[in-house]
Amino acid sequence: MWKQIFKRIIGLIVLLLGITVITFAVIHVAPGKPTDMEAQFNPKVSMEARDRIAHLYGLDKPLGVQYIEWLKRVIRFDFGISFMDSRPVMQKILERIPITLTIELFSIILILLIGIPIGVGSAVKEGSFYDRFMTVFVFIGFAVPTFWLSLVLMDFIGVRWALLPISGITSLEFEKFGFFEKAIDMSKHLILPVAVSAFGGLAGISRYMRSSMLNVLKQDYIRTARAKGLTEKEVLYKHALKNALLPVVTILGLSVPGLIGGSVIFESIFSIPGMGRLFYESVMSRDYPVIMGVLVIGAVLTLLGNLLADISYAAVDPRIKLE
Amino acid sequence: MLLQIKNLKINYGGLDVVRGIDLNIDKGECVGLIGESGCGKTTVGLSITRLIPERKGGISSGEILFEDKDILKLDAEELRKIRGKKISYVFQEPSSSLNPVFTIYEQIKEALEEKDNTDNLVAEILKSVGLEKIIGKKNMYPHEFSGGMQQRAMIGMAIASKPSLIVLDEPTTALDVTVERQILDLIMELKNKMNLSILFISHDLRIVFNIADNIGIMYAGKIVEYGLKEKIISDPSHPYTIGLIDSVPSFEHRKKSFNAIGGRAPLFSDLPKGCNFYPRCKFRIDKCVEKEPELKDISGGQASRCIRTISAELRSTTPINGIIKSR
Amino acid sequence: MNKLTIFGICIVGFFIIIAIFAPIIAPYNPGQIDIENILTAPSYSHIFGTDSLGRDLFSRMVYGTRISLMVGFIAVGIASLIGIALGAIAGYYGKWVDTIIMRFIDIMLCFPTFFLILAVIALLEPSIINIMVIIGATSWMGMARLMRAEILSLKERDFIYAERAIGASDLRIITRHLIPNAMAPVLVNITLGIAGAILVESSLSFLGIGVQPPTPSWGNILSEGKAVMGAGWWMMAFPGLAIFVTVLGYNLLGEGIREKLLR
Repeated sequence: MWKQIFKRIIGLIVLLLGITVITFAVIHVAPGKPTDMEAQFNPKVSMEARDRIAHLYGLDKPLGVQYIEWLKRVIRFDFGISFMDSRPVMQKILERIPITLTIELFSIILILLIGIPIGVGSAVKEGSFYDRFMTVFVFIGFAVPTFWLSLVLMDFIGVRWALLPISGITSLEFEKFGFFEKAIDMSKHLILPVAVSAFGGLAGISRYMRSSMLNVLKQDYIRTARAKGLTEKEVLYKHALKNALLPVVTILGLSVPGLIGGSVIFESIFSIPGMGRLFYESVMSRDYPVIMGVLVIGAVLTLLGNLLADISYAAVDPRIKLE
Repeated sequence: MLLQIKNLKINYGGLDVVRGIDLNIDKGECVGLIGESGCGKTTVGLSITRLIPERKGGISSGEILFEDKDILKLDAEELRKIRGKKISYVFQEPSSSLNPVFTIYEQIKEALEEKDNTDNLVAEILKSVGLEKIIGKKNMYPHEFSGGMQQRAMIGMAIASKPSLIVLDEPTTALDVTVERQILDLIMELKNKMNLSILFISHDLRIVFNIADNIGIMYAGKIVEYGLKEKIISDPSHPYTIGLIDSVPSFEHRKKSFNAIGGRAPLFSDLPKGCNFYPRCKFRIDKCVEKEPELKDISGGQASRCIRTISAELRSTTPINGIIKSR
Repeated sequence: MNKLTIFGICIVGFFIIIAIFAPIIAPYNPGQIDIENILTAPSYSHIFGTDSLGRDLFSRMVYGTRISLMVGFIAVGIASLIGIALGAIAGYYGKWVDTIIMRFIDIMLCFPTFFLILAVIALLEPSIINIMVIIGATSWMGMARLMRAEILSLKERDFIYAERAIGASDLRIITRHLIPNAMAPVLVNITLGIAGAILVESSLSFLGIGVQPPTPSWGNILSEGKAVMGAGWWMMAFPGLAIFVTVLGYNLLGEGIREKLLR
């Protein structure tokens, strides 16, 4: 057993290293030096001054050396200083992670609460009107572009009907609210982003749940359950469901990168101060330290999501031995 | 008469695969239903408690009287009361017939009608199927059992509510030969102890021989011969039965080669005219193609669907090969 | 065939035709500025209305179809080449080649794809070629895994042993026998991938780092739509609908292919 854990850890380290390599490579794909941006603002900066800045940041050393230097700091979660506001990158990221993760968490909960019943219902009533209706509904969900959905919701619910706030996560008078009011205020702000974030994932999960359930219902042990005289409810929701949910657990963990990536769009549109928007802003302003930081942290979060998925799967499927 | 199947016709996948079956099982009686793969015997077994998936097919006509009530006319609630409690099943593949995410203990417990004192009841069941060593081990899952143990567990589940009739559908086909022997002995033991009625479905006459009282031979969706097992074995009357018996290899007759029945079972979409067995029959005559023969009584409770009634002389020189003798 | 699948085929075909015959279909020059008709609602002369420079929205959208489809096809084409090749090599040769490629895929899959694309695009010039290449270079992983899985099961089949026995070279076996037989699920992936690529391109254009104005792309028209929200509903409605319908079409087609293959 320890051998397995050891192997796992080695694998994780390889992945983490790989993440850093790719991140580093991606940034240095860009033509020009990172200092160009800074220097551009001040045309009077001479060539010598630029070289001095380059030397300061260690940019004149060979790439391999730069990578090692950078890696040494990354291991200690030191991603350097943001070019934009000179604050430590890690701090900026840490400020934003909770918000993005909260939205994601609620999205996942929503996806599960709605998607699983839809999928199960479609499988049980295969071929019925409900099934076909849901299929169409799900396809629409797949196809709607998130940014369009955000805009449409913003326009109707936010602007025309003014039902929900559309910007930021708190209202202007937030500070004056009591605890409860604060909670409600934040929730109102989060409704639209969570809805948008969940929308596409809903389609995926319900579809997957449906096919998993259909697959399970064909199995012999379902026939045995019926032969034992169990009620149809017991057959479906006790015997079938538990088996059908197993692969869905994995899918959940695997949807983390998708949710993080999608956050760029709706965070930008709804002005949510989360990781996605931080990334977008840093990309637009060529804030390399932040870009690299978010890339690495984003990848690490994905890794954690996958790990969680694996562990949960092993926990629920008795055929798989836990580490 | 505990179970009476009357002129049962079943449609499966768009075709009539069971084309008029009559079968009776009395209290404490074991009837063997023998036939090649695809002849419809499993379908007959499943239909007894209406286990055929609706999407795949359904019973088109006939009656299935259990304790004098027509199962085909029962509503869902009444049907449920019979399933597992009065009529239970043991299927062919125990590894896939047991739910992989529930413990064996739980699945046996589920089959019990009584809801209290379950620990003791489950322990009793485990003892009676030879699984004493797992009494008390509540966390064992199906995949941790061998095939033989899994099948014992399934049998345990089947007898949990002390049913009157058990349908066994090829219960040993997926098991090793040595394990097969043990399971058959177990079934025999339980039958005697609990006075069970059994419908034993198989493709193999030898397996059924010990435990069955009467044997029915199925071909192309119909019963072609029926009778006491001794008669069927020693004095088979339908050419198909003769072929089946002749094709059994035996240790006692090592020198003689055994004769397989040539050809293949017909597809239900393309049944031969007249007698369905005509293309493969050694004893056929021209009259056989005229129309499908009726099942007619011969003597001593034996019936055959052949117009010729093959007598002992006609069976020429191929002797009956050995059957697995009981211990 | 499933009604939905046929619907999907129609949609896909419809947009392909529009893209091919754009110059004939578009009533106006998409770049033609008309200051007198800024942000007019849909009418007989401009059936989709005009944008903030008075350009005919319908014509711009028609030409935008070309961009979207082109990016979709080429990006997925690139992804397929990389994915099929790497997947086949990993599956066929196994051992350390397989391990390295699979690890590489695992690493790539750790990144939220959109993040990667954003980072690279923003650091390079946002040209159409770059967009196609980047989308292609970040979406091949799924195909590679699929191809690898298929090859793994196919390579033990008898007909492959037969080919080896008569001395066929590895390259020949892979390209002429294994890959064609393994294409089925990959085809589904490709179709769905086109939908995905179109979504990504329009998202990028929407954010301003995709197709640059004045070249019309559904995404950057939508971005304009956001700016004029309230003043010109058509600027948001039509491009969004177009993206939605196109993606829907490819999804339906992809699912239809999958149903057919699951026989």
